[in-house]
Amino acid sequence: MTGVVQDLGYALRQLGKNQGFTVVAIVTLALGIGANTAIFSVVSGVLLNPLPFPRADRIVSMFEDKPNFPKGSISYPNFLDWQRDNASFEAMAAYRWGDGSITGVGTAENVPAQRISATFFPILGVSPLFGRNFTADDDRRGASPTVMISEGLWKRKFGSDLNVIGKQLTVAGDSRTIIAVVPASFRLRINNFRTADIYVPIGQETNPAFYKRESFWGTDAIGLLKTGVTLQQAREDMRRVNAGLAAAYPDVNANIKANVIALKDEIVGEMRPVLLVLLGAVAFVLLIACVNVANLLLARSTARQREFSVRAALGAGHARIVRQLLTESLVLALVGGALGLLLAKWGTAAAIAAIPRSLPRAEEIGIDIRVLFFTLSISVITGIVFGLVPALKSSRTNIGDTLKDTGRSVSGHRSRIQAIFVIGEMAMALVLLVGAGLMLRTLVQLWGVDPGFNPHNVVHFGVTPPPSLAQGSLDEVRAIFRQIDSTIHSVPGVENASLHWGARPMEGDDETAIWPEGQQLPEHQADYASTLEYAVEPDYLKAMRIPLLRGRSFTDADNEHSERVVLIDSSFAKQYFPGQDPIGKHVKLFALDSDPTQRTWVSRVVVGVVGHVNQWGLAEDAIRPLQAQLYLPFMQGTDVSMKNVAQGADVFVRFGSSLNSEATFQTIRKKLLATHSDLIVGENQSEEEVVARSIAGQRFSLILLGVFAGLALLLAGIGIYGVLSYLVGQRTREIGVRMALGAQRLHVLRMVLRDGVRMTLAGAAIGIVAALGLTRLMTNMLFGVKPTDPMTFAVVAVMLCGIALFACYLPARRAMRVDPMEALRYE
Amino acid sequence: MTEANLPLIQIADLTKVFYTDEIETHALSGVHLSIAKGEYVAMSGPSGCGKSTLLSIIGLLDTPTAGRYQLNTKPVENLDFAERARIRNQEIGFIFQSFNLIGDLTVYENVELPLTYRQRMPSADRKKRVMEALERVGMAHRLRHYPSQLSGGQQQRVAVARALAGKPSILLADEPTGNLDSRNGEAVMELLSDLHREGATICMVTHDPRFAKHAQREVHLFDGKVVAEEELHKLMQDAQV
Repeated sequence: MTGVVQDLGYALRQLGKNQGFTVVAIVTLALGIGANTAIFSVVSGVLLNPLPFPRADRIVSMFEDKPNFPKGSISYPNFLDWQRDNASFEAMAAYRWGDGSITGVGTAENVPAQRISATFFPILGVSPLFGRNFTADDDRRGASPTVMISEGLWKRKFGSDLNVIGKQLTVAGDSRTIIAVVPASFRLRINNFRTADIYVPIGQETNPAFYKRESFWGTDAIGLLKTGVTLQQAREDMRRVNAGLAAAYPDVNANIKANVIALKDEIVGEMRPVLLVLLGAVAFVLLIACVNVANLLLARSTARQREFSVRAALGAGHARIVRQLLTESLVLALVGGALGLLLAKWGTAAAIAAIPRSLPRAEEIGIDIRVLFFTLSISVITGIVFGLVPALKSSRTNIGDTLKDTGRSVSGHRSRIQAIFVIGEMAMALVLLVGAGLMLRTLVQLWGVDPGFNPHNVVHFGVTPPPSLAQGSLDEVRAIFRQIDSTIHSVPGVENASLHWGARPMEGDDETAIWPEGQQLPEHQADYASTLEYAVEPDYLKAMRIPLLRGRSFTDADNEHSERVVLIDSSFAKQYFPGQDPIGKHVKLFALDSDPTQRTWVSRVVVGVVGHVNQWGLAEDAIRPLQAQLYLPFMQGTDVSMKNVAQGADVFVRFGSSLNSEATFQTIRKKLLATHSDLIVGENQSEEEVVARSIAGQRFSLILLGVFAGLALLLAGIGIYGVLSYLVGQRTREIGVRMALGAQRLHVLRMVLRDGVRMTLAGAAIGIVAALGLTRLMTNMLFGVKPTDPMTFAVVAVMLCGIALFACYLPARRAMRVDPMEALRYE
Repeated sequence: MTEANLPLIQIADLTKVFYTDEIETHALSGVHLSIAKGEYVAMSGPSGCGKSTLLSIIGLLDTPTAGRYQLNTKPVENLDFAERARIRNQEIGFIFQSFNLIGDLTVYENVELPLTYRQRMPSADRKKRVMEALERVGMAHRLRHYPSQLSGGQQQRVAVARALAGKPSILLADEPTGNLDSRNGEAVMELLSDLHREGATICMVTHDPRFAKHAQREVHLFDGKVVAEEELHKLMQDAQV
């Protein structure tokens, strides 16, 4: 023990004495360990930590797997049959978006809302802060209207009133009794579910169409597996259940299967490979940092050879010297680790704040015991890794030679280990740079993708009319929306504006079944063709700058009194009218028309063909099976559609390019509220943000890989600079001798650069081979560029070599300036 | 005086001053020296007398603060770095006290080194010169050895071969026996004497009178000045007092 304390004391003294070396080593390690800790804290928070639900390992997400949608919405009657017929689940809960317009308490506003089964919170193990969960009795048609509110809404709207239970809140025009407050700690973000302010029972839906088997309405489900039931067994069980439904309802269910996914996979599934690639990348950064510090230690150990020889001469064994040196490297690593932890805490918070929506479970990321243990472990391992080689080398010092120090010949002293280290870090830096380069190329390719519309200066926002409108006539609904449209158009600076419902580009899909005229109608509804559906006004194409390719656009004359018309996009035309002129052809839409319980074929005539709009995101669109798009005039919506619109619609607005769009939007809001004080105008969302968000995942990867590659490049540059500086220092006398023998400065420059170039080229060659193998792991993260993209490899290799040569040039220049007289002075 | 009789090295009123912080050190003060072609000169004097500084200036490793220096009748005191390097490579052969062989290079490569700095010298010519030089010093049988595999005497003989390979006008030897035992020291001195007999011009710094006697002429330095032998003894006695 005394020996260890002595070693520690001596190590601290040594490091204190060589402050320059100590600072460089600690900062290098802090960067490496910090970057690793940061990424590990993300991996730990997102992938490794269990979900914050008591039986998370038994909770699954459930969808209907349909031809166009592996994660399609579930028909509510199907869901009820799943609940009844399965043998694997303790409970199942359905959920879908809700209407969150709340009135009656303070200012009317629209808040996030979800409709959920009574079993939803019990499956997740979430207990209300106070009050009670929904019961089966709440979750049925005709039940007394109830609502659960979030802790945030309770504080904001009710001033944290402890007597809130039993009070009334008007939600979408229905007065509901508050039965519970949901704790703020509950957070969940999955397909069709976001943590909301309002939760109402899904079974209280009053629209009879919701209960039709062919209605899907954006409903998904979660389930709690029975104890001991595996995911595979549950899938088999659901296959059996669906086979029964297909037999019973072949018209709708013939092609429908259940898609059962572990909840954790549903939440983090897409991020898993990305995070694992990043974890691998950042490990390279740490290795490069280790190599740099090892090289510094090697250089230092050469300078300390006499000290080790004296120690050995006084009786210290190899093990004792190795222990002494490892103590020094461990002290460095632990201090670097502590500093790295601070960097990681700061860096992770900054990264998450910068790109919040790209990362699931971002709020669960932090420095916990596991992360602390990871940091401690990698610090210790790092200390041993970078300390061992120099320690072993130093312990093998030849005592006699060192102490005699004859100095008869000038040693070039090209350390093979140091050269190997530099080659290694060059190779690793190249791999990281190629990774970052590929992501950069991906992003450039994505930005080059034509979204099919021009998002600049366009925003959209929701408008929710007063709940009483739902009871009004269709003429009243149309009239109020015409007033809204007219008010918006009257605001100075509004170039184009259009009311809208249905699918929103890159944000939300809405499909309808169609039957192109003249084609064979399939036997079952399940086999009907689908199209994306957008209901818009004449100004929409102008607002979004969607080109009209053939025929005509909508006009104000395309209203509820005129012939029913549609515009189709180029994909629709190609798919359903190949080689034909679609103008004048009829398309039948399988829709709820005037009867809210029965779909019928509604025929519409094609009047124009427009450009295809990127619906699924810049990266995703090309690979999604559903491409066909269809536009219908907003005012020509079916009776059922217009009834739904009475509960809210969107508005797309294009502003003049020189205007402050936020100020103009606020003017619109003011004018709308001045004419309709009970209207709820939602927050505006810029279309540029919508487009950017569709590639947020790639941006996230690029930013992190870019940071790691930059760090790697910097460390590798410092590494080769350090080694060459050391070699030049070691060879000063040799350079002096060469100059005495007539070497010109150029000869010396060439001599030093040759060493650097050899190491760089060897590193680049190995790096290229390694990158060819490793970048295949990124295949799914790339777009429009192959993992072996020659351009990226070439540019990266040239850049790395350029920077390495610059790093080499600095010591080479110093070597050129060696004064032979000075170098030989100690003759 | 014909060109053939002109001195190879002619130094007049040479001064070298070193400035360290605010201290001015006069290493050489008004040195006059001529060395004729084929002459063997030994420079001696006590430590710090300026003999190595003078040798460095003669070898164009350093420049004088003032004075004139002609090598082969050409003034060389104000040449630029590149020109001095070229003249060092072609006209001067260095033999150092610590041999200064390059540890990573073989005997052959060490001897070849100055020739590689010459432009457009075919490798066959280089090889011929290297082998001649090594044979001349009796080290041709060790050409693939590294310096660390040789004794001190052998290393110094290789260093002499390296100095000879370029066929320089003058050999400058700075304490060439300083790191050798007396037997090897004597052998190296014999080698230099042989080279002189074959026509080489040699200027050697030594403080060992036994070795100085091998030279034709001895130049004594004291406090940066050339002095006569008798004067040197007197000055040294005064200094001891």
